[in-house]
Amino acid sequence: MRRIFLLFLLILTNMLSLQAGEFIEIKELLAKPSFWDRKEVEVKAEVLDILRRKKGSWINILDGGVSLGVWVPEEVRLPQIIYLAGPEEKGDLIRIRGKFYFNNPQYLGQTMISAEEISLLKRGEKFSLEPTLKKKRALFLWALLFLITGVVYLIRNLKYARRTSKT
Amino acid sequence: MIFSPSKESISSLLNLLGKLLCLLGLLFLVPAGIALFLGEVPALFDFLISLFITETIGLLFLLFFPYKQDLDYSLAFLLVALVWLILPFFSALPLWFSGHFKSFLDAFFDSMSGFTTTGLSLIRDLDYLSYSHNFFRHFIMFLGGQGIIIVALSFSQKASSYGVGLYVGEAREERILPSIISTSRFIWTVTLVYFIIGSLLLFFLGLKAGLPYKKALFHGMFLFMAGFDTGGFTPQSLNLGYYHSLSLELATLIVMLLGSLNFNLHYFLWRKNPKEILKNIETRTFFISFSLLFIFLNLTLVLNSKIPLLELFRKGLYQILTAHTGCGFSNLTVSQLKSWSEGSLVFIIIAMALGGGVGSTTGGIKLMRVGLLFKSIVAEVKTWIFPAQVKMQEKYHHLQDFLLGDRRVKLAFIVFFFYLLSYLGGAVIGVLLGYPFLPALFESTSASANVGLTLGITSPQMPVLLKLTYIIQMWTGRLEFVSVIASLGIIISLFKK
Repeated sequence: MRRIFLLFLLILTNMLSLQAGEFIEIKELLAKPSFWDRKEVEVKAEVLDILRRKKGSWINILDGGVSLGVWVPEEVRLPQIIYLAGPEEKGDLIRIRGKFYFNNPQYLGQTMISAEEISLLKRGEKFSLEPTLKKKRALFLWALLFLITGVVYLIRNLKYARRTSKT
Repeated sequence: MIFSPSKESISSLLNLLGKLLCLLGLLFLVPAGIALFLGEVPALFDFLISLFITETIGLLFLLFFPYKQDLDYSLAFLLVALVWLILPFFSALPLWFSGHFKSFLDAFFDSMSGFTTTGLSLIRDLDYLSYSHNFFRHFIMFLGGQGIIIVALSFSQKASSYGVGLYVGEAREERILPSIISTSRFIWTVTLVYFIIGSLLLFFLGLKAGLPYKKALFHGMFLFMAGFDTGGFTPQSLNLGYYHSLSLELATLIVMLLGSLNFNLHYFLWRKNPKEILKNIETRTFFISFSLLFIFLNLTLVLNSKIPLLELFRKGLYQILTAHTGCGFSNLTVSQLKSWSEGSLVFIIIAMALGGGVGSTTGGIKLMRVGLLFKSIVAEVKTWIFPAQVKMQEKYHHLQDFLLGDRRVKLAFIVFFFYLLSYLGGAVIGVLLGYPFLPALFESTSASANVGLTLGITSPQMPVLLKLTYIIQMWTGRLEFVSVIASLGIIISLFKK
């Protein structure tokens, strides 16, 4: 009876996780590449960069600190991307549906997704580039210490120079 | 008899250390200027705080430890060993302040990796890192590749008696020009000329790959600095795969090959006889070892997977060259490298272990030593084959013809032995911490030979003991053990006094 209950629980959690986990993380794709190779996948990621080429674009995407290249052929509509993930901005969040390749022979063996559909999920934003109060205080303190040490060093050097010029 | 330094010379050593700290502090002005120019205010604060801390400590050294007498030759080794520990420590400050590291140890790890031109990294969210911090990572790689002492000597006006000790202590055996200062300046001239040409080339290729102007310009500089100094840091977490460009990959191959050449060979290429490159023992050893490793690696790749020819060439060629030159760039993801067979990984490990040219920016055993050891084995075998009456003297060519002397072979063997010990020692620690042997050996060799290729062991989550092990390996490997061992001897002598 206990075994049947456990089995039921396992099936239920699996079903729930399948429903909830609509998107596959890039980390998961790279952790089990042979399983996901040449399979249809759907990922949610920030846009890092768009590199435009003759017959399409390469989009580099970032998800949970892991990045991946996505080839977007010209026939696939690319939504307007405004923010790119980087030091100043949080990138636009997009949804990509396409085929995952661990070693795509068409692109000299790159690990990539060949996109079939892309849509914008959430617009990115600019980061605040204001230093923290802690940093401002640290800068003031160390600048002061540097100034004091520098003045002491200069005075000592001047005294030494005077002494040696007398002798 | 054990050499024991006097209090006066220790004071002078700490005074020089203070001067070098002040110089490092001034070098923080370069990334600070970039941060100011790009309006990266938090990064500007990071560099200014680091500058003031470093300058204050440097000045305190100058105040408390006056320069009393010139350093002895052997004390210069201690200075070099200390400089290569302390400067990365202070350079870790702006990295730590950036908030991209789990702990200060991680920032120190990256700083040591940068200075020693290794390229292993514990950074988190690299893709969000500011341009100025990214510049700084590559800049320390550039300084470390050229040699911190070389940087300092280039600024000095007069040669000191211990200058040679400093120069040799930094794992440079040969002078190009009669004086150490002119040699240092020649090394910088060569580097700066290549820097301008290489960065421009990579900038245009970046533009062609689709990067915007600002990114193409900075990435061009970053890739050149990390490539020529065979460091291997990249500005994005996707490594070279970020650009999806074969031409850019090929250009980085040329840059790293130039970086792995002995600076003496650059001198011959520029001013004397370009044919030297065909006769030199190092280039010949490189050609043989590269060809063999390339063939064997491709064979293992073909036998284990059905890869199309062009893809095979791209992956095999790049991995062998990046490992052999000690650069550590990669056009593969870590998962792809991990999926290679054990046989393929063994050839990459061998390539990493061998390294590039003596007097270049690479790490590892180095081609000259490999060539000399190989020649000495051939010479020994010949004595077994030919009758005892036949006296043979083996020769080798490096800028001029030399007789293969016992002392040279002995020195080559000692360094070879220490590298082997380091590669295996790091692997054993990795195994004791629960990693499989081959990946542990791969990572250990990569750290000790200052390469930077990884199978994923190097991460912020790895045990502290392993982080410390790799830091020590990077440090000792960059200095080719000489300065570190000499320093240990001096420290022991201080206690025995």
